[in-house]
Amino acid sequence: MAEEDNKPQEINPTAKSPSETPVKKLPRRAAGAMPVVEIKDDLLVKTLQEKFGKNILSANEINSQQVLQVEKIALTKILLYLKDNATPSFSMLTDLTAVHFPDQAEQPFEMVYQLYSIADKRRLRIKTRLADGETIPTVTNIWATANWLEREVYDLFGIHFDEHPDLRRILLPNGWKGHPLRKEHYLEYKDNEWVEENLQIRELSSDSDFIGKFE
Amino acid sequence: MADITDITDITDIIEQENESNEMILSMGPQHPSTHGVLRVVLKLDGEIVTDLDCDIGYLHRGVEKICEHRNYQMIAPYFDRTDYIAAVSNGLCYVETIEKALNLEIPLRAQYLRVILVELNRLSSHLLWLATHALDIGAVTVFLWAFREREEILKIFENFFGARLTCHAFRIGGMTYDAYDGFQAQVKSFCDRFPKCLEDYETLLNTNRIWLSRTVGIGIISSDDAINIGLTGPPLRGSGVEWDIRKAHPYECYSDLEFDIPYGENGDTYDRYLVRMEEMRQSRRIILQALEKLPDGEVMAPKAPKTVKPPIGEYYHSIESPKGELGIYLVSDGSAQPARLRIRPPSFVNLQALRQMAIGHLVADVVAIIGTLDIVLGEIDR
Repeated sequence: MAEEDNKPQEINPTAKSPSETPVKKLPRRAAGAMPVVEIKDDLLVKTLQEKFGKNILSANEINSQQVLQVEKIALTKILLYLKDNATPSFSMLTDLTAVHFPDQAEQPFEMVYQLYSIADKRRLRIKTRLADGETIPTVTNIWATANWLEREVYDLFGIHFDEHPDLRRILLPNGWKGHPLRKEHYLEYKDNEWVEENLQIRELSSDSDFIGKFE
Repeated sequence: MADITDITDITDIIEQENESNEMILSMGPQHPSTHGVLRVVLKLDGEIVTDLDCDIGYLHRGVEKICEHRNYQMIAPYFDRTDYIAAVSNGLCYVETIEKALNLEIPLRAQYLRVILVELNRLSSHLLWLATHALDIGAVTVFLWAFREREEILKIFENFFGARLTCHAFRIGGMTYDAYDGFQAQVKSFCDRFPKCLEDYETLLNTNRIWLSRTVGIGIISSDDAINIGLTGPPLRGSGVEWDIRKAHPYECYSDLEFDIPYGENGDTYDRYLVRMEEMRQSRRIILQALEKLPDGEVMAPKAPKTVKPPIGEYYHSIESPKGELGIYLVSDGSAQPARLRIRPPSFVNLQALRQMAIGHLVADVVAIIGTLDIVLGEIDR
């Protein structure tokens, strides 16, 4: 037993680059879909469709939650309208996030805005599609909430926001390579260079006699 | 003088200090009153804060990324560790989201038990907030007293789940275990004793001159600003917005229970203190009602699936956690693992208001304002 304990622990091969192929997912079986119903008799959605026409790509109720898919060009106009002029007025931006769909090669990123109207107790989700490397206008001038939320999306997805007042990484340290929530980012990716440079922790080579991973 | 956001290390700070009379002070990440590993870089003119910047991410574990590589049942324990002060509430938000996405009805008894446990968790979270907030401002007795009551709640949790902090309370489809023998009596006896404890805290604080001068008029935020910056939970209600998800979008059996939403007027630290104190009374009221109405029956839905595979689509669900609106946005691709699981942490959004609330106040007030926002870094950094 003791001899076995003294053996050097198995060391992972050196960290893979962030652009390595993603970890394989479990095989997918045919699954149902959540009920999707087109919104028809809704005053707000109707006004939006009249006002913005083709820029509203679709208006659906997914699992009884209202979702609007819009064009990126009209995004800020629509959001501004929803906050200032629409009835009910969506005074609160509950959440802002992104989703990565690598199989949709043309526009793999989807920005998701969860709006909320306190007066009417109503939620509305606005989504828009982005190509890789494309930038998107900031909404910090509409809701102050967006500041840190956009920084988080920039940090974890690498999506740039035009005219954001303070676009820096927020959760990961400056100088970190890669954007972890992209699907191509390897789950167990370690930036050994960064760790060595900033924390002075060096990984031992696989033939070293020491026990443990780090020096 | 360089912009505050340029500061990356301590040498920069010292160089900049020499250039002007303003001082840059780095507070944290190892600081007793930043409630975890939060670093706040303050720009000071004398003792007045003229600007500040929060440095977060010291506890970043990539929970959202890990979730994309775990089966749905395996994800639940991670939620105990995001907001570790309110593990039961966080667990509830996760299992509810999945149940809603699966369109799964859970038995009434499980709903009532969940509400009792979540409200007990709200009490323990608010007690911890009261204890540390009062300690930051210098009231040591309240700290000891509040921890005494919190201990009783943690004992109930220990009896129920076998854990005090990271409870892993609920399962998708209901609960693993029914209440233990004597659960109702233990909760009842705690609730009977609790109003006296609250009165005791209030005699120490409500008219205390030091407490009043440290909290009244500190960190004022108007209701419009609060909504614009996305505050939720007690900080929003302290600014006079009567909004609570338990009332606005009732989940579990909240629509059957009677309770009021306390809200403040001035939006200062003292009002937020009053709001949370009243919320504790309301939580006790909810618990007592739920105990009385607690029906018999199963605690696990008979149709709960063994392999959880929500249908393809997306779902957003949020609950009123002790800190504010805790939301989960689930994107499912029909497999046993989520395509994306976004956590909308209340503390993350609430902390953003610190800058607006602290500018113009003293350094000591920054500590009070961090306390009144009731943040948990495990949730902010995820």
